[in-house]
Amino acid sequence: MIRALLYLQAMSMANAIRARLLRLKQPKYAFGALAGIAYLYFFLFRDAFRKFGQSGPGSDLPTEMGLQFAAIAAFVLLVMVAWSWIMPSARAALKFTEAEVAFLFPAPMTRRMLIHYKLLRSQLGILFSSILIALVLRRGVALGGNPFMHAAGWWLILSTLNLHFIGASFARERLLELGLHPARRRALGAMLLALVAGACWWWLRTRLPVPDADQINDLRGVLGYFGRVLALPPLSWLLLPFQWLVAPFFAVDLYSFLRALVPALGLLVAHYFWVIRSDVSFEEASIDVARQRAEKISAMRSGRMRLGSAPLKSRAAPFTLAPKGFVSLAFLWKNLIAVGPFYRLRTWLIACGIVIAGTLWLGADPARQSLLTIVAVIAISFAGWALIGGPMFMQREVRQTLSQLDILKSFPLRGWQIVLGELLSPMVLMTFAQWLLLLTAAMCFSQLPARGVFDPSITVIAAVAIALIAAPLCGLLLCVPYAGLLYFPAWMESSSGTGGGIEVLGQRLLMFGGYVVVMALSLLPAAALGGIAFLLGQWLGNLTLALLLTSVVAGAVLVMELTAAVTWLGEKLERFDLSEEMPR
Amino acid sequence: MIEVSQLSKNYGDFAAVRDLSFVVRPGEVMGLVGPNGAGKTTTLRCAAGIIPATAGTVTLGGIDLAADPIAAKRQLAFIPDEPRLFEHLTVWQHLNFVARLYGISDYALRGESLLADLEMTDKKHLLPGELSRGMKQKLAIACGLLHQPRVVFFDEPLTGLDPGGIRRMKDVMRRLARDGAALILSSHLLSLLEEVCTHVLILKDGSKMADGTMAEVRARYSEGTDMSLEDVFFRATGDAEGAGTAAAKP
Repeated sequence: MIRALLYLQAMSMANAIRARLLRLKQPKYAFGALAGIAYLYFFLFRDAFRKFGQSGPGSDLPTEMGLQFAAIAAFVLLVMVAWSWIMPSARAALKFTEAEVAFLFPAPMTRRMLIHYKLLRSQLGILFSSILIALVLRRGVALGGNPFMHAAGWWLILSTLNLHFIGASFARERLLELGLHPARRRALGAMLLALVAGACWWWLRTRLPVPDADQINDLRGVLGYFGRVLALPPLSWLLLPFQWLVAPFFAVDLYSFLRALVPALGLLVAHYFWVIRSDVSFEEASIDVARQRAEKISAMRSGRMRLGSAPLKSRAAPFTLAPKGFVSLAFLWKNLIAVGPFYRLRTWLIACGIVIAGTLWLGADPARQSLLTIVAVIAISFAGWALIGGPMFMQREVRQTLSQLDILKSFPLRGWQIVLGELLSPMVLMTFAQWLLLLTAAMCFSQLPARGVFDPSITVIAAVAIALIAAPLCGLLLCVPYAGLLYFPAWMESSSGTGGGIEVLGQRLLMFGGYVVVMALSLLPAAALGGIAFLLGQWLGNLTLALLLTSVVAGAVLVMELTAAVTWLGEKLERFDLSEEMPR
Repeated sequence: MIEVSQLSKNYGDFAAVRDLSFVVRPGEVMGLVGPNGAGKTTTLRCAAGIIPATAGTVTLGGIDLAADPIAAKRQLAFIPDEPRLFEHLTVWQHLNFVARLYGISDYALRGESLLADLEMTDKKHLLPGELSRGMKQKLAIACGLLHQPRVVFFDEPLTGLDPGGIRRMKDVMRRLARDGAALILSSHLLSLLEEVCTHVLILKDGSKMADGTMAEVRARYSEGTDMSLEDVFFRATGDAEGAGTAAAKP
């Protein structure tokens, strides 16, 4: 039977790799893979590969600091383990796929075989993660030691934790069978924890004086104090097995690594036997977990994945939708219902009020005025990031549009009406967010001393000028995911999966490049004509007029570009052959 | 009325639908049948203007779909096999949204009446997530019928419905035909077609194998014997194995 399970695992993995390699024949995956590999190499692995396999130059940090880090890591593991016993309320379940449930559960297999299979499967992920973390973190640079040893250390920690969490879930299930319900288990666990913490605290008070402020005014001081706390019994006794577990990871040379390996491996083997010998019914809960996972994956693949859960309550409409009128407004109405009651004009006005009151309060006291610059810089940075980030978040909604496009296309609507309708709600939300951030920056700068020509009135005028162009600019950038959907639908689909590997990472990077190019190209004519308008305004000798003129001209250019883009996308939508993307 | 003339749809070198012509008059229900991959869904999507045809013309209620798609689509309702609903809109908000798309002034009155007919009046403030599969399908039908279409396309309309839902769906189709709408019904369920359809069109590999009234198509393939639509289907599509199995049935 184990052979059959090994066969399943090996063949699944080989076929997955083969499928990944075969799809590289398609340019979209090949380009994506190249971009992804280049990114990983230049940003993550270039230095790591150079250093992997070499022993570090020895620890850059004092030995006692390494020991303190190890003690803190052991303490973190203790907290995680205590949490796994006290808090979870879910039934004991192992994560299987629906296919595994369908084939393996009715097969002539013992529970022990199923657990073995599950452990075998989890080992693949743990091994991969251990190597990746060791490469990415390059821990040896700071604390000395060899990356191979760090990878092995990670593997030991993750494998033992994995076994412990499974064993704890089995033990919780057994306690439930014995009549100890989760609420009582939590109460008992919390009491026990409080007793242990109290004992440690009492011992600590008698043995270790509370440090003065100047003793813990830097990282070394804080670490030193924590190290001394964790080294005191009875806490040190509790931490002992956890320190065994983290010791190989923190070993600085081969000898100390091998010496630390023996107790750590002993712990791993003990956990293995604990889990294997547990005879707990996990099948029913595992079937539920498998079903939930399958639903989640299916939702993600169809672009229906959401951050929260499905709506449970109906939501009030943002405004009354009359049966006749501008059709695209119906999409805004529908999408504003979908985003929820928080995104309403009322909320935005309250936020504006808070911003005005908050910035006035900061500006009222010279001691707080230095914060105004920080707040303004944060607001401007966030506004800049949101210009690109907003449309990238929109890609999920765009994929959802694809799944409903056949219904939308059966309605008596022009393509541009559908495109504009779908653009309206993100455009409105993004514009209002940008205006709020601009208001924040303008309020901050207007209370600071004038810098050059930027006195308070000019600052406000400049903010108004930028606010005028924000809406069409947001609209233009939001056209990018729709253009991607209509011109490169296969790319949009392939980037909707669950991760998807290096090639999908590369595709996302290329998409980001697309946003930057579109922003640059759309701003170029607006900037050129706006620049001429600014010079004209300056020639007339009025900076306020120059700024407003620039804004009106640049905004008009962007509105024209947006109109052209929506018309162009609408025409494409009308000609768009859904049958290439949807099952026939 | 639905008039399809010399409709073709190609995907590269592959012809999904070849030179297909048919007419469905008001009050007629045409069953579109064929084996998997015969081109049924492609035909429906081309006829509904969802995907562009490679060649040929489609006229809905006398309006050329290519020349004036908006006016043509005002005549049409397309009911897909899987009800595709907006998960954040309640039943009534769906009707409100569709009313705006079609510009239906008296939608409130019509909506109430439709919901009453479909026994959904008490569900008007519920979200799709709170509805059963059958209720969702009924909501999709209510949305489709709100603008009183003269042409209705059903794609596998009985998928996932319970016996009660199936009966109600058949009643809806019969009532629509009685009121003068032209219906096309694509399904693998030959018994459904026998019950509801006045006409049938059998497709295979994108080409028309047979069409006409049920009686005409039966007469053409039955050679004087009493044959079920299932037997006729296998003979028309040249599926000897299927024909043999069907003939052997008691």
